[in-house]
Amino acid sequence: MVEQLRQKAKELLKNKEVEVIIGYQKSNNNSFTTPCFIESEDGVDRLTWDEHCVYNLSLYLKEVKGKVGVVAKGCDVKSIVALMQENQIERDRVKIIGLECQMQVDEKGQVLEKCRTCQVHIPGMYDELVRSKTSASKIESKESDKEYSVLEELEAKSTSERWQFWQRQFEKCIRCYACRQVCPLCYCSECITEKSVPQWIFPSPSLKGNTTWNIVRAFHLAGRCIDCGECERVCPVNIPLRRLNKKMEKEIQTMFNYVPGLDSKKKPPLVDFRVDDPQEFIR
Amino acid sequence: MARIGVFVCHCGTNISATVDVKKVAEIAKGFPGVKFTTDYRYMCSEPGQDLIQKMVKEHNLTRIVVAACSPSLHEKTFRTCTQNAGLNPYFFEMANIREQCSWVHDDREEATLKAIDIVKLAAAKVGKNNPLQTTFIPVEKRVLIIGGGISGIQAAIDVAFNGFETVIVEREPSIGGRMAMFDKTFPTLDCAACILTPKMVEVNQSDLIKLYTYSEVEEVSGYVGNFKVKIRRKARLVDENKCNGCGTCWQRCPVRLPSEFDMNLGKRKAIYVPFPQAVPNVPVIDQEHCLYINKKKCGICKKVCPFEAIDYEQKDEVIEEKFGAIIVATGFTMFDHSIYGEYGYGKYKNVTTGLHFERMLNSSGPTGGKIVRPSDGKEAKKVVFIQCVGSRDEARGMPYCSRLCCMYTAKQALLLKEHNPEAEAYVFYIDIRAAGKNYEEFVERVQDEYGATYLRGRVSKIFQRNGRLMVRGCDTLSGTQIEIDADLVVLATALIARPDAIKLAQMLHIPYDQNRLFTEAHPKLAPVETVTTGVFLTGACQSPKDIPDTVATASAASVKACGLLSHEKLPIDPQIARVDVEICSGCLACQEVCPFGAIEKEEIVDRVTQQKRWVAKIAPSLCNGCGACNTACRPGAIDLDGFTEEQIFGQIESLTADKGDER
Ligand SMILES: Cc1cc2nc3c(=O)[nH]c(=O)nc-3n(C[C@H](O)[C@H](O)[C@H](O)COP(=O)(O)OP(=O)(O)OC[C@H]3O[C@@H](n4cnc5c(N)ncnc54)[C@H](O)[C@@H]3O)c2cc1C
Ligand code: SF4
Ligand code: SF4
Ligand code: SF4
Ligand code: SF4
Ligand code: SF4
Repeated sequence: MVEQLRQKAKELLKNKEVEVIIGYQKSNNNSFTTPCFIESEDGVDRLTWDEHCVYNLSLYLKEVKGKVGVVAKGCDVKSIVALMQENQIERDRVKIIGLECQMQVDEKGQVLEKCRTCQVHIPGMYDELVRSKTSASKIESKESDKEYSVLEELEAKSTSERWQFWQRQFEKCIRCYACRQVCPLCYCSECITEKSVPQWIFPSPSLKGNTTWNIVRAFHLAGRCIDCGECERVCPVNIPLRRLNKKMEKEIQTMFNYVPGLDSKKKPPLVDFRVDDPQEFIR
Repeated sequence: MARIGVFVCHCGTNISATVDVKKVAEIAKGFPGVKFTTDYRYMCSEPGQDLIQKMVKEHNLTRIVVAACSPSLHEKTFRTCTQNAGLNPYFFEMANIREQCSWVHDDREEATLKAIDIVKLAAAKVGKNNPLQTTFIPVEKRVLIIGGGISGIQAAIDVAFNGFETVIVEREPSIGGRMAMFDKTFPTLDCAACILTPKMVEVNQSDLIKLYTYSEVEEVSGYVGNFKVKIRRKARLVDENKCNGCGTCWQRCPVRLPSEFDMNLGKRKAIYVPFPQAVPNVPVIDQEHCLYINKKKCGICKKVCPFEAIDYEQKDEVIEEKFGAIIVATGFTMFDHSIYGEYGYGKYKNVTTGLHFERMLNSSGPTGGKIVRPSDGKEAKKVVFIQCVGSRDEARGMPYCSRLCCMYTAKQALLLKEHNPEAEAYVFYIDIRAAGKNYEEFVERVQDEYGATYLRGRVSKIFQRNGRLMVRGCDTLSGTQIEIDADLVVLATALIARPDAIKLAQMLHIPYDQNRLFTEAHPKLAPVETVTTGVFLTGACQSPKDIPDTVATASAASVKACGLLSHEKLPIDPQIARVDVEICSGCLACQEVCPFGAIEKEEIVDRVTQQKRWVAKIAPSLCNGCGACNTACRPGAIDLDGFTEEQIFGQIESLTADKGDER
């Protein structure tokens, strides 16, 4: 697969279809990968691909100007779709090298929670596709019907128990904003939490400020979060952010029958207005 | 630092009976920035306004709060007053302690506490108000009239009389509306055509009135003074400029179809004018049924037309025109009685409606003025009229009274007797509502002079016996059950909104009620206006109206429209949205949710990166200040002048100050 990937990347660079390719390279300790930016044909040998390629590289698309190629898993492509829906990147500027994933793993070698129920092992949109011999879709998608199983435990709790649970979690937040930084959809140049006139969110770590921050971010991602799980991965104090976002995803799906990141023609329901939407209560 | 003055109004006893206004004024003295407070019997009165202006001078006030009624009533009054006091008119806030307090509470103590909080909110907001300047937009001096019934016709004549250009867009091939279908009109019994056709001709001949018949409005954008309207001119397949209405084509066309205008009681051709006095007197080809269009056969009309006016290749045309004001005159349609089992579910041919009967009465109608049974064309001698079909029936029909069925039924009973003195007329009614000038007298005359039998009661069943219609009902006055073997039953079905009313309302951004009737801006004080400035209502599209009322509202709406057009430019409210491009991420969520299409994207060069990027841009003339974009914007790049985040935040803080910071 790696060879195929390098080949495709080389062709794209050679034909001047892209100026730079964003991909994964091996890190120093070899069991890990880091993002890399490749601008010449000789550089493509640095590209790698294995189950350690976890990062969502679509994060860099907005920053890199000009024609760009990006290595993307199924989940990453969902965020590219979302970015296109929201006018952040133009489709014709980006070449997507889609990779059929093989269930990615964390540092301990455990298959990621999100991968276990993932349904897009083959990306939904791509310009080039690299297939896998041991495709994840073949290995195991038995749990794909358990999409929202991570929520079961929390949903079984009473409202006050849940509130207490989250209060304990938010208490830990140090307001490093790593979650925001790594989130492909938190692309705002100035975040609402930075706004000081008026100041909606108290900026230094405190239970109330943290609670507001985390709830505001969850709301901003409702119907937009594509479940790459990156925020939870980077949170230094291990707040289970994916559960928060997954719950919002579920609510939006039940209410509006909409799943983010699948169709670039559609609009997220919370930023959609249609005259034929019969909201009988506002006339 | 702002120096705030708070003026608490008694509104006679409207407020002071429930709210301790003196206490409100007293406590308001302690609010941050408040330098002066007082109470007064009627703040909106001249002495009340003088008081404000005097106190501004005396106490060097820079901000005004008036605690009184709803801003929808007196905000304008006090803004002007504030301006007259030498301040920016937007340095004023209204605290509504009447509609939102005194009128809805009984407990004086609690109501007073609430009033204090309401005033506190207003004071906290006014301290953060920014000076705003009114801007102006030029006015397009043309009026669009949608619908060419009697209301649209009258409105066009009135607007033209004022010297302004107007365009009537009428969906049907001819103007005239329902009135063109009638024989005579109550209560004077003048012939409908005799009073309508001169007006139709006037419309046709006026240089200032343009007619787009067989046309529909497709899209409306813009705002008062500058509406942009897309109009679809459906292909007539007949060239309006060449045709002179000789009629050769429709005489020769071989296809015979039921005529909609004649309520399917008569026939028309595939190429037709709906009725002889049609304006314009130019036929249309019914594309669904024309042999040439469907099978490439026939083509007779083209062959026989002496003026070569037939053009089978003609296509729909969408044109765009600009208007300063819009008058909606789309009229009504009739309730479908087939839901009523007791009236035979619409199955019986001889159970008809008022409109069918109008066509039969009409001497140029399908029966040449003879009242017949549709089943066999034989003369109908015994006619039963049933009023309130679909009206005043919350469960299955419309909750309202259609207002004119009593009158047109009386008219029809009278005309039946005039056409055939031998005929018998029975009228079932719940009660008679004849509250117009000379209306009651008319109904009396129908009974006394013409001998129509009025029966107070409901019809429980219509059924067939030995080939005759049997109408079974009760006469509650005599307490007897009655069965009448009728030749013909005429149902006075309710007047209701047209099926596409909601679509049009959404296009025009005007509200409609639970019955899909367009809603006026104020039922008493703004009966022909809508909440969308520049869009006016007339005729039966607003509520069932007879011709006198329709014509009156048409003239009223024209005055309103002409009033607007008499200005060279119109002020626009400066309380609109504003984008901070530094913060804007260009996601265009705001564009998506803006119901007025006021947001576009604009390319700018980023101040920091010097790179080009997209941001949102608001068209001040289109923005209505609804605030939808404001809430959709995640990073908070949009603020609404007059309701800025800072103002709202100040309000929240003023209430929570003693409760600790919740951020
Ligand atoms: C059976 C009957 C008898 C009546 N008899 C009398 C009487 O004797 N005396 C009396 O005073 N009143 C009478 N009336 C009431 C009278 O019909 C109304 O007052 C009058 O027709 C209202 O006029 P209008 O222009 O508002 O509506 P309409 O007559 O309905 O005209 C509306 C016009 O708008 C057009 N239109 C609708 N939608 C659109 C659109 N989206 N785009 C473009 N064009 C559109 C329609 O084609 C139509 O031509 C009677 C009513 C009925 C039902
Ligand atoms: S990454 Fe974790 S600690 Fe940092 S701001 Fe986000 S939730 Fe808080
Ligand atoms: S939290 Fe909201 S405002 Fe902040 S970056 Fe994310 S989406 Fe933008
Ligand atoms: S071409 Fe069509 S409209 Fe003309 S005469 Fe024939 S059927 Fe009638
Ligand atoms: S919603 Fe806000 S960030 Fe997005 S384009 Fe509009 S103003 Fe800019
Ligand atoms: S406030 Fe915003 S959403 Fe509302 S009309 Fe203005 S621009 Fe559109």
